[in-house]
Amino acid sequence: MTGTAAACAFLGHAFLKPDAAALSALAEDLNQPEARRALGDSQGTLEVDYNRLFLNPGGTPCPPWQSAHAAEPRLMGAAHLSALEWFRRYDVEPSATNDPADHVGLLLLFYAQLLDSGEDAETLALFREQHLGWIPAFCDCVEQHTRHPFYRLAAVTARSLVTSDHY
Amino acid sequence: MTLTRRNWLRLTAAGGAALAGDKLFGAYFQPAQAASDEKTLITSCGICSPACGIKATVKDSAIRFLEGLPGDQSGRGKLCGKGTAGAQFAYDPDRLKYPMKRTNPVKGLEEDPGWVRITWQEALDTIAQKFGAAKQQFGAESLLFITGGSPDVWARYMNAIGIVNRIDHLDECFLSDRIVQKYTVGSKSWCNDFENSRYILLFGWDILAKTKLTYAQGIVDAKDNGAKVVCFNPQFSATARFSDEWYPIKPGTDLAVALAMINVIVTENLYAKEFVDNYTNFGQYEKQIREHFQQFTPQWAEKESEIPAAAIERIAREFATSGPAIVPAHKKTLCANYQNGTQLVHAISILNILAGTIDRPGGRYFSRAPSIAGVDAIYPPPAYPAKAGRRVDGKDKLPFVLEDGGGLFSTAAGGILEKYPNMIQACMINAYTAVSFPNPPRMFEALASIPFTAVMDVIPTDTVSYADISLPSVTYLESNDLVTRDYKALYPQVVVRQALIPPMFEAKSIGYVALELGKRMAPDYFKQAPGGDWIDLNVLLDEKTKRAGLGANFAEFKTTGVYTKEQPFTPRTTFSVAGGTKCQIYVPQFTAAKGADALPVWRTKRDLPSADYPYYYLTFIPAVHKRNSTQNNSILNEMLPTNSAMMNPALAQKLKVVEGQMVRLRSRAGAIELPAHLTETLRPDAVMVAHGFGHRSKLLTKAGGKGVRDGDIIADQTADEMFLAGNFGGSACIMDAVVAIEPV
Repeated sequence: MTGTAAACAFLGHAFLKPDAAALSALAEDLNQPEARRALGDSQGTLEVDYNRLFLNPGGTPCPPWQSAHAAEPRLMGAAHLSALEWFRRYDVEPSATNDPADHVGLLLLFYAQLLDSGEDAETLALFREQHLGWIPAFCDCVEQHTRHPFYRLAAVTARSLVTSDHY
Repeated sequence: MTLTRRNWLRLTAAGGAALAGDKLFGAYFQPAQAASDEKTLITSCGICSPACGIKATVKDSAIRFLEGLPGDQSGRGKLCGKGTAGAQFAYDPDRLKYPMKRTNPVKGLEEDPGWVRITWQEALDTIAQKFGAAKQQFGAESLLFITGGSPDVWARYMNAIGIVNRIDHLDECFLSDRIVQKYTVGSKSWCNDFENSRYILLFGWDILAKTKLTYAQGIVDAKDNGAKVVCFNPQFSATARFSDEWYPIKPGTDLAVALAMINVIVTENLYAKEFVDNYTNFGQYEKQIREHFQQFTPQWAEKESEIPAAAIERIAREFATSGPAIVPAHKKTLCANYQNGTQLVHAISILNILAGTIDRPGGRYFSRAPSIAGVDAIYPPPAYPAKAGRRVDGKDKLPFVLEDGGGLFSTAAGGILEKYPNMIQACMINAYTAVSFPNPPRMFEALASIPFTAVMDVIPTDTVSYADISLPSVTYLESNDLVTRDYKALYPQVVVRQALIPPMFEAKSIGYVALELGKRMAPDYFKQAPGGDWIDLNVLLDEKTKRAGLGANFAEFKTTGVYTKEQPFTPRTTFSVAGGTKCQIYVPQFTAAKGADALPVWRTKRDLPSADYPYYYLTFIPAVHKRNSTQNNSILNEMLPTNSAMMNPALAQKLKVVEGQMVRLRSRAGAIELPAHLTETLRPDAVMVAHGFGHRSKLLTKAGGKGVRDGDIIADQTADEMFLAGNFGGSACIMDAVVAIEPV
């Protein structure tokens, strides 16, 4: 897996599940040393921060779904249906069928797969345009609200990846 | 551009050869299923109680559009703004998603609970263990359930574990009317036949702005049919504008006008003689009735209410002689605003009886809804344990409230904090927020004092901040049930409520929680038969469907969606009133209980203007919101995001306040600060604030931090105070405050 694809895949996983041990092992596999350092010894605290940012029963400051960042914020909006269409074109769909398909983690994982399978530039650009444009604002939110160095790093990295000219 | 289809998952299946990225991908993706076509489903709205029929467009498990269901009695093929925006409830990014437990033991609005995700299994095991331990050590009285009395499976769970302290919001709603109707006409009915009325008299209730569609359509039709609409309301409300006559009555004095109208109708013998003679106890108690109402002359009522005596006399005569007439008492408005609410609903019930329109065209009629068997009828339970223990809300002080079983929010904080401190050891809250209590800061204090609390809800409310375990609830769009028509129910009709989409994330129903807690805490009550299989909610629903004759099973009924049995309307000639078969004007049962009167007496509202607090305080629920539960709905939030202190320009001038200026409203209970909004529509001795705002949870992305809680300046109360004031029907006095107004 190339550097950018590996980083996207790692970030996808990072935004999907706050499992410090698994993420640490994955950072090793995917050669993400900075992420490994930021994870440090954070079993427990990582999960609390993840839940506070993304699943909070007191209200979610940084909803990780693209539809929640549309002009009319909601779940399962147009971005969900569009993401599902993209996935199905490649004969896959999210395993969690009750959850929205436009989760930042799923989108990044899928994009990593597009990159890794050598998809053409036009296709990559179209996916970026349709599904990654909201991520910088999402990362700003995470950076502002997080109390954990790992999510700060994840936000900075994800933002720079999706705003870079080279990806 | 052409996209090539490739099966990436095949890579993963290659096992050892797969790259780390592929494994990663396979962990969250699976082979695609066939995309589903767009389909149309029938269901019923769950935002408010008429449950209007919905035609829903769904594609790929996503709700695309909601519209009214043609042929439905309740909504008549339409939905209101709230109903149309309904999908936003299911799709609120803030909604509760997974069971969570707190890791920070310190509770408070400003505390971060340190949520960690847990499985449903762990959540249910923990709750069952905590409830069981509290019950064993401190008795059933140590459990407080702030939940509704339904669904039937939930009721069974509460009965099985002997819950004594269940409280709900009904004292803030229609509890007083339900108690009075039981003894006057038989039962509270939601059916108002406005369409066939010739004269509609409204005390306060802003029917058009409340947008219960079925009532709004009814009153508009009534007007088209030539009915006269008369409205008493301190505010020039939407309904006041629509009415033929509007009177800006002095707040809390509707009772005086109603008593004087009875005086005129009885004195002048204008009542519906055939109905009153045959179907009421007027004859039996005629002497007492005539003597009692003599004191309430229109001249006396004018002094109390500021409504001219001549107008009261004329309206009473018109009401009694114009043809079918109705004076509805609905919910909060009338029934729970003031301490004299019980007397008011009794007087209103008498006016309807005197008009002779109980279960008659143009009046209040009883629903022709078919009955649907409950879980206890289908799977008879073993005998329930006797209920024993002290009532934290003081309900035992108010025998009619105790008998009814509803309420009491308004006395809960005092009970928990002062009357029975340390009695409540564990608490379950379902779909209620402390914001809806009078004096929410006191209720937050009370919740913080309870060692263990589980909260189940759809959206994050401030109350979740006090939970040890929070549970995600399904919305009505993810639920299955059978809904009988009981708002517009001239003939039997049942509409399906079906899950349009699978529950989002890990949301579950309260019925599931009842069943699972029941299995853990009282297993014998959750078997289909002694020693048999566990009760299964899907099988139960199939059985209900079959027994009600709606279809072979629920799946079959879902395909038709509506059951209608059109039949002619036959007025009742016997009434199932407590203690007999006739409507009761004079209620002898009320004399048997201390603090109650057989005929409505004059009582003032609780808090009267004084030198310290010179102004009336009014509250209202804006049309675009349902109480305090919709402020985080993005569409409804955009329509009305916050509240203000509405006041007459004349009052503003006197106080030297200008539009938009911050003012402090101060009562004996507390103070709130909010911007002034000047409007000619209010009496100059009152200030009005919309209910439902002031959610303090900063993370409620749309509603958080906007506006103030109207309840912060409304005093809560004790059952002793209610008893002494003759508030035997349990009005929560949710508008019964007076305030000082100060520019900030």
